[in-house]
Amino acid sequence: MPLLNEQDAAFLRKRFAEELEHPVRLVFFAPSVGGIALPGEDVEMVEYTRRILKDVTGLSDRVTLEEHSVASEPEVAAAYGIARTPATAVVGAEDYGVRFYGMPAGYEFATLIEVILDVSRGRAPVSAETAAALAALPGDAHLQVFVTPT
Amino acid sequence: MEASEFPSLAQQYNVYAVPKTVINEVHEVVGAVPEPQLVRAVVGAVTPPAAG
Repeated sequence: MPLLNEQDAAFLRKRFAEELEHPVRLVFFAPSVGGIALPGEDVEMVEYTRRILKDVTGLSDRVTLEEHSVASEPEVAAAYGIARTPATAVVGAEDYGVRFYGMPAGYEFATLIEVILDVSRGRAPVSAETAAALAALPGDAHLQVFVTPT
Repeated sequence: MEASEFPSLAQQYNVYAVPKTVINEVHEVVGAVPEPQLVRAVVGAVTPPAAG
């Protein structure tokens, strides 16, 4: 059963149809895929995250889901710089380095949707001043934003 | 980064309120600050301090 109600799904389908530019891949990393849960693995949280992502990819042909296991595909996890799970890399025409760690539920569901749209456009909705300041950065900046779903 | 799902990480970065942004592991911005303020923090984190 989908987690999104029909009204929300219809709204998001329309937004995706109108606003998506490049296709977006949601590259999802679970501790393991199928089979036996690993020690310390929160199976429910991982499964719930997978269901949310499946619902989202059902809204547009241009948003697709790839699933990987950190345990059995460590080389893929390393290629995406994934150190913990559940993790979702949001990848557009390029990999802009956007990673979502944890379950995109509650308020953070909206964040996931906006991130998908930004990655699809290949640009964030920032001011010209911000864009210029960031373009002139002398080095890389790694931002970790801690949030909660409420 | 869902703070409640990664408690050891939240503890490592002293996350007591959200949102909290950690830049290059050591610089911190607490709260949903205006865009120019976040940009200043990012620029400050990346730019080496001026000599002298």
